Amino acid sequence: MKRKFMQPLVVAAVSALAISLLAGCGSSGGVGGQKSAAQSTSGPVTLNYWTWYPDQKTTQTAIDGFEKANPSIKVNLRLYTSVDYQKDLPLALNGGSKLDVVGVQVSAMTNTVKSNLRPVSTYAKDLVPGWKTKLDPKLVKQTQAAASDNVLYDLPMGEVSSPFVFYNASLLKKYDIPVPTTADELAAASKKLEAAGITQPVVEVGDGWWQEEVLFGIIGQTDPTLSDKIFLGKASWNQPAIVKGLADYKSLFDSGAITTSTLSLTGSAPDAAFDTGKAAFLVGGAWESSILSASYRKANDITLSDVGATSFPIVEPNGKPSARSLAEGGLAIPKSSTHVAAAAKFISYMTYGAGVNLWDSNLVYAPAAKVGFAPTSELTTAAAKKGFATVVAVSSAPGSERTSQQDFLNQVEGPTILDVLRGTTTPEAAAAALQTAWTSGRYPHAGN
Amino acid sequence: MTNKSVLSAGRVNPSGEGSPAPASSGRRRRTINTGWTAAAFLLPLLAFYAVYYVYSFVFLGQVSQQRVGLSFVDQIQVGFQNYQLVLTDPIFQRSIINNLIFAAVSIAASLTLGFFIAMMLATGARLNRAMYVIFLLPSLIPLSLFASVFGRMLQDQGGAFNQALQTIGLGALQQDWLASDGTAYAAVFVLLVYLIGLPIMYYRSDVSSVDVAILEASLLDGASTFQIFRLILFPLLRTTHLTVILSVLLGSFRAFDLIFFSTLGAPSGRTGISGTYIYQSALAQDGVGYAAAASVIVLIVALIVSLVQIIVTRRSNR
Amino acid sequence: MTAQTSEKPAPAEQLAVLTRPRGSSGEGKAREPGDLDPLRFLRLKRRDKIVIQVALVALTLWWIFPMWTAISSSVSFGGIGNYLSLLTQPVNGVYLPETFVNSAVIALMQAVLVCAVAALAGFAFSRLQFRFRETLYYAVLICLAVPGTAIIVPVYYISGTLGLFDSYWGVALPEAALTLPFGVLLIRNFADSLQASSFEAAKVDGANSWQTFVHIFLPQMRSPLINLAILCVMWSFQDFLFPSLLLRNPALTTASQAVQTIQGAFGATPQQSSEYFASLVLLSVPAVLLVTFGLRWVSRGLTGGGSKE
Repeated sequence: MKRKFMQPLVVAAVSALAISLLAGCGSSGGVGGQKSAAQSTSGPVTLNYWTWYPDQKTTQTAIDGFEKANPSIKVNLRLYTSVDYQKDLPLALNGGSKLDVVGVQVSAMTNTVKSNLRPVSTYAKDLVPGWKTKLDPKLVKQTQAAASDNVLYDLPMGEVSSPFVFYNASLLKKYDIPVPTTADELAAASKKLEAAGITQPVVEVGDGWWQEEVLFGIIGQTDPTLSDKIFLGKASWNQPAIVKGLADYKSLFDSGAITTSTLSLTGSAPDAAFDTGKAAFLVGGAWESSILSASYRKANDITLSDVGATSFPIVEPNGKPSARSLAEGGLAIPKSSTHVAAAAKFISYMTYGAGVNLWDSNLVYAPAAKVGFAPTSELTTAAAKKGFATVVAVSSAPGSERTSQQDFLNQVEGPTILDVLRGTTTPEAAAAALQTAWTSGRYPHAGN
Repeated sequence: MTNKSVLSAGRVNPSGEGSPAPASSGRRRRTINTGWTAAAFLLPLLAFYAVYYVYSFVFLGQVSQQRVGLSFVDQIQVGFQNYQLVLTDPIFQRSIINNLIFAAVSIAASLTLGFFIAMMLATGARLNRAMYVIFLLPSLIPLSLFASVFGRMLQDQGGAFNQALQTIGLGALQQDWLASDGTAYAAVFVLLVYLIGLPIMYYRSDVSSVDVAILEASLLDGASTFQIFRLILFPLLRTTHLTVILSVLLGSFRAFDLIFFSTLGAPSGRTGISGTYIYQSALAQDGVGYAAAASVIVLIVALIVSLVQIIVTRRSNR
Repeated sequence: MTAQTSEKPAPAEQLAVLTRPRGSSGEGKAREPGDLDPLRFLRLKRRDKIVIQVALVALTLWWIFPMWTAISSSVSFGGIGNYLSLLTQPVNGVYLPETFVNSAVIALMQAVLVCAVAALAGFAFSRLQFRFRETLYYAVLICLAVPGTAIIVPVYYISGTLGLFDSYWGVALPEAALTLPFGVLLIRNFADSLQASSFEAAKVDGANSWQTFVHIFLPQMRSPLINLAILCVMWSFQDFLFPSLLLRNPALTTASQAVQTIQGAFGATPQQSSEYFASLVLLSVPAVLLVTFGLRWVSRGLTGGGSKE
């Protein structure tokens, strides 16, 4: 009886060992310092490209163009969600995954992955010449400054800024609602929409990281440089401007402009609500501008016909529209890549080559390549044209950089702001808690 | 013992172990021989331990005094600063308290509901084998799965709990269960109740050793079934209670998937536990040293609990 | 928390074995729950029996509720087609059937490692005399308390230095290390209850330790070793922590790790939500089958170390 069970178990065990031996050993990855991998010299090249943004369809269109122009190079794309990517990429690079091109979230990820990346200077000769002049020097400088050792590890695809409000123009027209410019107007619009049966007129991402962007969007309306000062360690969190900003943000919820239930929407849920017409306003960053592009909507089966954008509503009476911007969408080559020359070619193509036109038509970034990319053909309605112009104008206006201390944001800042919005704590207590945590030494930052 | 049996058998052992040598040197020789033999048998175990326990603890001690990233290069020595930062972090303190709170709830549920379910199953109700498997399933399938499913049930829009409330007419109670501390804790407590399968297994198997006569006597005295459960069986299964309590206390430091996949600390990290704290710190920028310090602290606490457990059980065995 | 962990045997089991006096006769009985329930033999009041039946059924329904919602959500948009497409197409680069294979291989490797090492060590602790035996044994046992999350940093470093990232060994080795304390405990506890006569006879016959181990010890340990092996397989299936840190190649993802990998692949639309639930249900199938058919050994291994036959 026992023998009957023993035999299949033994067979299974032996085959498991056999498989494991055949599968071979693993890799050392980046532990103990990663050496740049030797280059493979012959044969067709397949590049492994991991990133979080732009979306699948847009990126694939650009990749298809590249593969057509370079028949011997294939690109395998793998997309992650923005939040997962921050954890998965360092683990993958350190774990020895063979990647050739990786997207880098400039502010959030540069320092966690830079020890696994090749500095741009090491493969500059493989890039298509002219990158220093073709890319906006301000953005390149921001990308370089994001690394604590001030080395350039990646080339930025473009710039993003936040916060903005995107609106369903046809829905507003239907209920005869003017585009709101102030918080009160937004509250009035929400009330009207709720009366018409739309339960969540204004949606935004309920994740912690987004709350900081709205908070500094509101504060920036009266004090555009405060964000920079705080993150450079030159100003305290525990000050009236922050308390006021938190109170203003909370007032948007208290007045009914934004419903508290939207804080339960995380990830892509707000986008889904807006895209299906369940919400009239989407509060998001300039990366949501893709929704203004007709070709993007068509490619992603979004049935909205008329979408516009506007700056975040003014809360304080003397405020001016404000947004924080930063270079984003860095493309880097990991040390584990064995196809640096081909990867450099791909990066050139995507950041200042022919690829820019292909992804820019979906308005995913404001391109870092300076030479005139203005996708006017994709903006088919007046609202879209005006909205895009607003986004561009507010992004270029002087303001703070869209930086933060990522761990502080994830563990303290985001949760604290959410607590204020949910009423669990007061703005004063929150500001004090932020300052205590900021100066604790647990989250290294400039001026610490 | 072995000396006597060999000598009494009167045979000479070819290996010389039973040879008519003076008893003392024979015993010494055997001890030396078995010492080396034992070492050979223990070698694989000691190898594992040397690498994954001894070296790990030493390594943790070293790394906890550095600030370094996942690649372990460019480390900065910071002395005991990491320990200070960990111990003063309100989130860490909260996570340890949560470990204990969740353990207490688990224990309470096991000793009450778990006990009763096991006793009820033991009465031989219909389909009790199938029901037994169902009670055990959540504890024995990957917790990442069960906690994920449970987490989805808590969702505000389209979550099963809210939908169920809607169906039975309590739609007004619908809410985002992870938005406030009270409901989030309640949700975790409910999830913990689902995981009392193993205590049920213990009670179920230990009740087999109870003497039927006692139970029959109480039945004759007019006790109802539930009185038998409560007044006779509960005190009788004292050692099982002890086992359950101690094991849950210990396991509380090992939990990770439970929170990582259901609440991920919501709201605002306040339902986090020591496991999720260590994991998230390790993945923070240059956070490996900090995570190591937190690991050392958690290890110390867990090892103290284990020592207590070994002492208590040794005492109760005597 | 009821000893529910991702990477280590739930200590309830370990302690149960520890609290039982070694070599107690309780292990000799067949411990199939239900076989010798004294409660079965009682003539309980009919009313009580009905209450018990109703209570049990109600509780069972409550217990099934989560999985039932998952299954019903998985077919609400897209029906069975969701499952069919998941079996053939990758999700975020991961083929779900492949994850079952990965989980199974790692589980079997871990089981072999633990059973082999624990058998050897259990024999030494139980049947050999040497100095500091008990001290060493307690030193071994105290590591029952080590949580997997507390050693992720050294395990990551060790795996990286030894070149074990993205390999089956890289996950099986630390899992085995964490399961070994329980394995040694189980084997020694059972071995202590074996009859000394067979060993004495072997010694009289002139067998050395290795021969005793192979020909006398192992045949008698078949039962607890099988129970231990099945337990190891079950715990390895549950492990999420080590695969998530050490296996980054999508082709090597295990079933419990895949739960995290697929999270990002499904958006918020109802169709994708159904597909997400379908993948969760699919990922749970191997574990459910294992529990349903392997419960006998799991229960024996956890509650007494196995019965002699």
